[in-house]
Amino acid sequence: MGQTDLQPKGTPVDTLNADGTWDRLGTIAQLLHQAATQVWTDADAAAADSPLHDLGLGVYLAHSRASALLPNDYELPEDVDLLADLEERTPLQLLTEAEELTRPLPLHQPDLVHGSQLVVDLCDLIREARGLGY
Amino acid sequence: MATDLRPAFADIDEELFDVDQIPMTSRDVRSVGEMLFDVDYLARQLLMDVGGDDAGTLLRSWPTLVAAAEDLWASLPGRRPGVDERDRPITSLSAQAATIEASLTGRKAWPGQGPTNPRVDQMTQTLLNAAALVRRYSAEIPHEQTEAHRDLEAARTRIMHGLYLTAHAVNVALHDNGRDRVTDDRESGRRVQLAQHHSPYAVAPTGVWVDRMAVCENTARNYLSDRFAQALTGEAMRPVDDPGRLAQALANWDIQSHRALARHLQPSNIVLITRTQGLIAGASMVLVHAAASAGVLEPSDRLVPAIADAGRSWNNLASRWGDLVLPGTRLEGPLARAAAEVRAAYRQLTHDSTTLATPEIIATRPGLANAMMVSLRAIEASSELAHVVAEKADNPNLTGPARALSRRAHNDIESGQAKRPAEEDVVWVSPSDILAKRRVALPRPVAEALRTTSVSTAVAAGVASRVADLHGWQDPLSVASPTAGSGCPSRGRAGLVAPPSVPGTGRHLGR
Repeated sequence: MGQTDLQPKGTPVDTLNADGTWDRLGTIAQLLHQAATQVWTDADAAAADSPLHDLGLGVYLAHSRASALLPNDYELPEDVDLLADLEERTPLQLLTEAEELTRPLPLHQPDLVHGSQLVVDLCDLIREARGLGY
Repeated sequence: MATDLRPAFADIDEELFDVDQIPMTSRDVRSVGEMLFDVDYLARQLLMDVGGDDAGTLLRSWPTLVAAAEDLWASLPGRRPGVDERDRPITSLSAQAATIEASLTGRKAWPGQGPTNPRVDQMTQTLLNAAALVRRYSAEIPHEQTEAHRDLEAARTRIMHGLYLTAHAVNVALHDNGRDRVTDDRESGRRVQLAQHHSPYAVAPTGVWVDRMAVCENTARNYLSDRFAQALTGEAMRPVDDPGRLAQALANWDIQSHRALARHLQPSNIVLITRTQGLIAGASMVLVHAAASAGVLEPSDRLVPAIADAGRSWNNLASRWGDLVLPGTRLEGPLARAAAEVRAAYRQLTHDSTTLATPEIIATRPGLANAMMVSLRAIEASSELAHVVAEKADNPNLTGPARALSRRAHNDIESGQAKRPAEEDVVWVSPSDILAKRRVALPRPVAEALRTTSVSTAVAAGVASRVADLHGWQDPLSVASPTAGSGCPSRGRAGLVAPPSVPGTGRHLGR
C-alpha cells in the first residue's frame, strides 16, 4: 500500500510472524517471573502488611497474563545468557524491559486479545514500583 | 486538520532535477503504522509518568485527542453504509468526549481554562497527520482484500489501544490530584469530606471527572478485550464501588483454590495460592488498623500479631514452592482470575490508584466494617486451606530446577531448617544437572523443610483462625449484598463495635 502501509516500518519482520511473537512473549514471561521473585524476596524481608506483597502478586499475575497468551505447546527459549543476566537487574529494570518488549506485539491478532490489558498492567506496575522506591 | 504551510516534495519539484540540491521536507513522512506506533509509545510514557499535577491539562486535551482518533477511524476505507456496529465504541467515545468538551468550555471552576497536555497534543497531531495521509491514499487501498482488511483492523486496534491507555492515565491523574487536595487540606487544618465511591480521593471537583473518564476507559477497554462483541452485548462492568465486591471475591477465591487443590496442581499455582493467602493476611492487618482507628473494631492484643505471623508463614511457604517453578509456567485461568479479583477488591479499599492509603483514609471507606468482617472470615477459613496445601508437600514426585534446589538445600542445612547429615560436604544436586539446567527430584533437606514449613503454616493459620473467630463473623451472604453498605453485622460477636452512623447501637462489644 506504499506510504499507507499501516504497519510500522521500523518493526522487525518477525513480529507479525507467530514464532517471533511467541518468543517475545516468552521473554516477557521470563522477565516478569524474575521481577515477581525479586519483589517477593524484598517483601519477605519486610512486614507482613508491606505493599511489596501486593506489588509482587501484581507482577506475578502479569506474568500469568503474558504466559496465558502463549500457545499451549509453546516451550520457553532456553537462553542461558538471558536467564543468568536477569538476576543482576532490578525489578524496575525487568518491568521496563518487559514493557518495551510489548511494543511491537500485534495486538489486533485474535490470540493477543488481552494484550492491551497487559500493557496497561505493566505501565501501572512500573509506576507503582517507582513509587515504592525501586 | 490544521493547514500545514511547510514545503512538501511537490513544492520543490524543480530541485529534484538539480544535481546539487537535495530536496528537503519537514513534513511528517512516516507511514500510518509508524504514526500509530508513536501514539502508542507516547501513551505508555504518559501512563508511566503521570501524576496529580497533570490532571487539568490531560482533561483539557482528552476531547481533541478523541476527535482526532475518530477522524482517523472515519478516514479508514471500507466503512459499511449505515450504522456499523464495529464503529459504535468510537462513536460512543466521541460523544462522551464531546460532552466533556462542552462542560469544559467557558468553565471557571476546576480545571478551568488553561494549558493542554503537550504529550497528548503530540498524539492528537500525529493522529490528524495519519488521517490526512490515509485520506490521500485511501482510494489505492484494496480494503476488500484480506491482507488490507487485516491491516485496517490492526489500525483500529492501535487507535483504540492508544485511547484506552490515555483514558486510564487521565483517571490515574484525577485520583492523584484528589489525593493531593486531601493532603493539602489536612495539612492546612481544613475539614475534608472524602468521597464515598470509586476512591476516597475522588473529591470535588475531580470526582465528577473520575466518573466520566471511567466510562470512557471502560468503553475503550471493552472494545479491546474482545474487540467489540462484549461492548455490543452490553455486558455490565461490576461497579467499582460495589460494597459486596470483597465478599464475593473472597468467596470465589475460596471455591477456586479448593477446586484447584483437589487436582494435581503445578507448583506455580501453589505459589499463587500461598502468596494470595499472604496478601489476604497483610490486607486484613491494614483493614484491622483502619477499623480500629474508625472505632469499628476493638482488636485484642493477639489479633494483629496472629495474622502477621500467619502472613509471614504463608509467604515463607510460597517462597519454597517458588523454587520449584519454571518461568512461563501457566497458571490455572479461573484461579488466576480469582486471585486478581481478590487483589483488586482489597486495593479498592486499601489503595488509592497505586499508593497504599493511610489507615485514617481507609477508615472513611464505605463498607469498611463489612470488608473487615469478610476478611477476618477468610483468615478464619485459611486454617483448613493450609492443611490442604500441606498435603501437597508430601508428594514424592515433586521436582524443580537443579540450581535453585541446590542453593535451597545448602541454605536449609546451614540455617538448621533441615537435619544436618553425618558426613560433611554433601553434594545435594549434581553439578552436571545444574549445568544442564535439568529438573531434579527434591533433595532431602528441601523436601524436609518444605514439609516442616507447611506444618508451621498450618499451625500459624490455625492460631490466626481462632483469634479471628473471636472477633466475630456474620453470614457472608448478607455481607455480599450490594445494599449492605457500611452497616455493622447484625450477628456480630466480640470485638466488633457498631459504627457511629447507626444510632443507638454504639455499645462496645470488645472484651
